[in-house]
Amino acid sequence: MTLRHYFSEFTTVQWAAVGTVTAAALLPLLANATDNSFYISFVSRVMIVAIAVSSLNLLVGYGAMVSFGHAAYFGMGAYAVLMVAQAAGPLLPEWARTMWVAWPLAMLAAGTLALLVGLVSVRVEQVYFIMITLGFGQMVYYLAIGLEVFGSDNGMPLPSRASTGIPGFSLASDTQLYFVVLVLCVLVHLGLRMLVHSRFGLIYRGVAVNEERMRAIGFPVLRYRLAAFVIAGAFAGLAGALMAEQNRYVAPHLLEWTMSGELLVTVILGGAGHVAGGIYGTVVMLGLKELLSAYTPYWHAVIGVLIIALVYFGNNGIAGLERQWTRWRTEREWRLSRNLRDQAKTGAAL
Amino acid sequence: MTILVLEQLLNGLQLGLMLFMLAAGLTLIFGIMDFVNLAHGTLYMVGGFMAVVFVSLTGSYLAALPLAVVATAIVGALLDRLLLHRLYGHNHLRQVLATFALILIFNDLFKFIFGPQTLMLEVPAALASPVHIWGKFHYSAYRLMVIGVGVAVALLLGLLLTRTRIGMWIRAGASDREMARAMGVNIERTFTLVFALGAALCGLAGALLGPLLSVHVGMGESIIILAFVVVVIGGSGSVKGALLGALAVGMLDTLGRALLPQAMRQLWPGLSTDSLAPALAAILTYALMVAVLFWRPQGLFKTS
Amino acid sequence: MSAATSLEVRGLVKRYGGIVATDHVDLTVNVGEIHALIGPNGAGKTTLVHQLAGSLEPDAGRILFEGTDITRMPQYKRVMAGVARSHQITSLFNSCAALHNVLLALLARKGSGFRFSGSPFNDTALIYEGMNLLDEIGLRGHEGSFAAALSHGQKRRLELALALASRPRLLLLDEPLAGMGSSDTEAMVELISSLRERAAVVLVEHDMDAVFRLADRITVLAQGKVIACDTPEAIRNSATVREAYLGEDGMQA
Repeated sequence: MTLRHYFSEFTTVQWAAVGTVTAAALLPLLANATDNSFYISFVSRVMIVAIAVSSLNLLVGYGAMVSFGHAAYFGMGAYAVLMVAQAAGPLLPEWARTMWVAWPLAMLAAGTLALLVGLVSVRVEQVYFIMITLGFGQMVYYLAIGLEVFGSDNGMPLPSRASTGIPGFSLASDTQLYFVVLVLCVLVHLGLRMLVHSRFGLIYRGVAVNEERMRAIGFPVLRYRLAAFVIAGAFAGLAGALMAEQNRYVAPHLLEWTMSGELLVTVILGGAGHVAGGIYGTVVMLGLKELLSAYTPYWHAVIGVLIIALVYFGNNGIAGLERQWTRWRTEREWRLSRNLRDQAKTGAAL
Repeated sequence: MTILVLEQLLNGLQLGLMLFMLAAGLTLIFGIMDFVNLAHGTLYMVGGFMAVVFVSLTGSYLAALPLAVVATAIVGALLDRLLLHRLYGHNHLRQVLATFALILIFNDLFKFIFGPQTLMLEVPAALASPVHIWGKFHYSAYRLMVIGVGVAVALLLGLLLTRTRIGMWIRAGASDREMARAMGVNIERTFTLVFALGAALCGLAGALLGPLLSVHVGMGESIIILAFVVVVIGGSGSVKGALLGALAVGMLDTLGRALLPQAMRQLWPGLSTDSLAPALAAILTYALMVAVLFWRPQGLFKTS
Repeated sequence: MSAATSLEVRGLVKRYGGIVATDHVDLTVNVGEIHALIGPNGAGKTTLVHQLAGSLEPDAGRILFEGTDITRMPQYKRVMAGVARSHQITSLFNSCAALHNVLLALLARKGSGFRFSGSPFNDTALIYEGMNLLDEIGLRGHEGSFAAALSHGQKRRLELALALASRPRLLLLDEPLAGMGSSDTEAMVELISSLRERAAVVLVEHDMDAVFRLADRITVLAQGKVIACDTPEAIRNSATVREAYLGEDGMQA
């Protein structure tokens, strides 16, 4: 298919996405020009959290696995960056502190943790899965606050941000980090989209719809669940690493169960089961927090009320409004397959 | 040394019984209404604060205690009737979200009413001095009372469930909702009753532990997770399981916290165990839950 | 009818608390045979099917498929080995289109599921095969309908299609005709009959007309035990069998 043909198939939503990314790319220039550089780090943070939320979306929205301990992988990524930063020099070569090494290491660490937890957890029934992931999350939290080498209760500052290995390009500048985060955020979400429509994605979502039947069809169901759990954990770890760099600080607060709860709420708010759900939810959640905290110290309660409203009246979060354009499968998918089916009917395909 | 161990054993018993009060309500709510109530810790907090309020109103802790329990039960009943009953038996995710929201709301509400500072609840003068148990072993009279109340509650709860008509309704609702409804049991009223009962137990625990652990916003958050661990270990819907699980967790947690640092210092002298040991003790508890879930996913005493 | 054995069950036992649901059951099914499994309610037919399919583990005994011992083999592996089942209570992917249902079943056979790029809906060959399968079971024209929206008969047919997708050599059909009207039943019976060419079939059914039309041999189960295994004629005339069904409808000679 030619590129022109491809782009002519873009739906409204996809054009809106392109527009948003372009706007986001232009933001730092605007913000710096108007002396509002605060927004750069704010939007950066939004994108980072969106990655974490979307990783949870993979589990909750597409796999019906409600993990109440996802903050553990978020935090693991952050602490991994801290560990690498401390070890680079004495234990590890200096180049371990570049983003090309440190961040994949963080993903590896988080993914490995997810593997260990997942091996035990994915075989457990739905409601107990919530509790067992909560328990594991707490374990990691207590371990983190127990270790003085990582600053116990208070956490620890990160001496400096990761180096890029590219001369002239330094993450010390908020703007430069912003662009890296933007690229990663876009890539992660494109990857998510590809994943959920891929063969793996279809099988994994099938498991969420009817697990028993998938087994009876011949799929080793647990393997798919575990794979998704590890992938989600690894990307939460990436978000954690980015957060550590952004804040230049790593605190156990990232690991609290309340953080896990917030991630969960954000997924539902934004629309579980929609690729952009994580982004919508994070924008609203963090935006609300900013706005509300300017007006009242009791903004937690306001968010609480919002959540209750969402639970009782909401159908599918913000992305649910998008439902006219997006369904279980995108229109494009269906249109393409219809063409194929017509071809198949006439025997022309083969 | 023995005195230390004895003291910790009694402390563990006390924690276990208080955990039981939280877990019993939680397990009944989970077993009967199929409802995951994260806000259970909030009800515990309500109990603590109500005790403070009533002590300042009546001047007497012993008078404030039953009042605090009743007040918390009322709060629980209201939450059930006005908000939560629609989520029973449904999507667990929604329940988790809604009760998580309640935690946020109540925390801010109480911060607004009482301020963010920790409130002190005085141990009643009559129980302030330690009691001589045997030999050189003294133990806080107040803690003994707490243990006593805990044991009494456990016995009463057992009697309530097995010997009374209300208890029969509750157990009927637990095993088969539709059948119970068909037999004329008013299910909605039973649910409210169960929720209020759970709330009352939380309130009692909160009021009892207030003088020991101090009353502050968010005091329920650490203990609620422990209570969930107990419910998972004991099996949903099983009060007996909740008791055994609570005692096990209470002992494990207390003894772990007290003895583990010493044990670790023996093995690795020089290791700074101040912050690590409590962490490990806590981890032990979660490890226990994970082990139970793995080996027996339905808990030790799952009701059918 | 070839004499090659497809399925051999030896001394299968399954206990539930105090009840023996499967009581030392022996069973042999030959290649190209339709072997019916009948018996009064509670005889343990579905329990047996579960054990043959792999969703339930027997307490004792052996199950051999084409000579291989599959007794401890997990369910999904058995499907890969060539054993597939359809469910008594329809179990479909209700929120998905019929074609989507079939595609999922086909994917199980098509190499690794761990491919993270490229949508199966763009796979021409796969779609072609899915459409053919739907054609075969008579759901042409309904490939885009959500499974939940299909009629009962169509759902039962889709249920069968999912089992057929893995090209099994042994089919375990658990009451495929349940709840079907007469025209649906007719079509289904024809379909099942045609399966003889490619798979051995174990057919659990209550519809005695269909059973006697389709079965090459019949095994009768009562209270977990095999009380008879013979040709349809012999079963029809058996006093033992009639006794087991005393009080049950359906044993019209």
